[in-house]
Amino acid sequence: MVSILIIEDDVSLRRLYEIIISLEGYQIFQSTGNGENAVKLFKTASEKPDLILIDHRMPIKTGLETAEELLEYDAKSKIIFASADSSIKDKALSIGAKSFLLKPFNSDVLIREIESILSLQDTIT
Amino acid sequence: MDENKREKTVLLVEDNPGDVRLIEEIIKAIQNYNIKLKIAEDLVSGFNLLKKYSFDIILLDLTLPDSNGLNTVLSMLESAPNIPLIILTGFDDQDLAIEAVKAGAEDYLVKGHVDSHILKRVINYGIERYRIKKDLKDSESQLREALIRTNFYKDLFTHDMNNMLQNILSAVELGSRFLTKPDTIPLAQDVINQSKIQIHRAARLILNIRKLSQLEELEMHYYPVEVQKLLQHSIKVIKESFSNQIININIDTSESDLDILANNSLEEVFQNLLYNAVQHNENEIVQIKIKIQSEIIENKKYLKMEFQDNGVGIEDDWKKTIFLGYKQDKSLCRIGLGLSLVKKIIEDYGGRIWVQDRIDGVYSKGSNFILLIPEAV
Repeated sequence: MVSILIIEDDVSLRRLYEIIISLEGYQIFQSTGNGENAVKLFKTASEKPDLILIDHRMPIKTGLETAEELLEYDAKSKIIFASADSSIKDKALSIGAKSFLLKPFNSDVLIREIESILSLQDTIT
Repeated sequence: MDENKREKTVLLVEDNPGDVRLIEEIIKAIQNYNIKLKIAEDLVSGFNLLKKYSFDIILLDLTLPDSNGLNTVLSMLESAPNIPLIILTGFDDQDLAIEAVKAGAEDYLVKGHVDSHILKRVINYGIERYRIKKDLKDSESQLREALIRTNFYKDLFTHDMNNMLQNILSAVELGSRFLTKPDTIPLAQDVINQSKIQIHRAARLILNIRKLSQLEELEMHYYPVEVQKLLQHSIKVIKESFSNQIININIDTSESDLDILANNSLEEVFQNLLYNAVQHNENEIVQIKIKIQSEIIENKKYLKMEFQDNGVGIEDDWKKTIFLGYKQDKSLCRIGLGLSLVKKIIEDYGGRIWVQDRIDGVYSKGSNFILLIPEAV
């Protein structure tokens, strides 16, 4: 079953993402509001999530920093940024994120994006 | 008072006794002009006098036993950055004098070409020019500060607004999707309630921004405030904002008569702290305990208030930066405007605020925001 890691510090938004994603039949790998915690979870998990949905502006560690660490650990990680900050879009894509969604976006856009990223073939082998 | 008649204290740093005498005589010759002169023979003695007395202006020779040339100027500008500086120079050294002016001196006097009119004019203009320059610099830095602050608010406002819109949009979409399936109606209701909470969140953001600009623009007035009364009202407001949530707030105090010198802004403090405690909480029942007691610190009586919640807590690294607001690098921190406002208000009251874990060492069990506010005498 496809599993998705959610990293979003806005508590209620995190809950809504969980519901939207579960309703599509995906499994929630973990859901956290803290990038540092997410990196730990990712590194220690025996089975990695298939996709990561990440916010940028969060306390402790930003989404960009978190994504960089995740990609450094596993370059094949499929990351979708969901941020209200359009100024980081280029940076996010340049470090290897697969997609950038600018808040606010419709849930069907999120689902379509998840489907399309999951169908991508791994470019790095 | 006529600026000419005000006594001006002048520091003369000059090692040549002949030049010192000349300046003293010129000063004596200036009519209706009151100058108190102190003399130093070298730079170090000059620095010592600067530590002991305050001066309106410095007259500085560039060739001294312990310093020479432009270095003399730079050392003096560093030691006395808040006093206008006039250079005394020989006829052949005018290029150096101009360099000194470029470095920050106000003007220069050519030895042997000074009379009472010139000296009086150079001193007066030097002081006045320096004052104007300083006023300009001050207002520039105030403007820069205001610009940084404005950008911070703007950035935070757009960011938070978009997050709220995302919440509302997701909730409404989910809600309408659920409503077609009768068995999911309770879940739909819950999700739609989220939108209501987000609308209150937006309203709070707008309120906080307005309040922050008021604090910066308007003069604050203080009067004795009944803390409990204001607190009860704030609790009511917060419970109304989160009407679908179970919120238990318990006030723990043995003090009956609690007055502090504050104003209505105290309500913003309480509401923001309570709001955050509910908003950043994933429990079915939000528990908040407010402990109030008197505390004497260095003979001063303070009101100590602790807002303890069972929310998501604040990691140690974040505790240090959470109140920094716009002074913090925006990329490092996602601080709400609420706490910036809270901190500003509390500090205006002469108090302080900090945050600890509710249970020491276990941040995830909730936070304890502690306020110390001077009690009204």
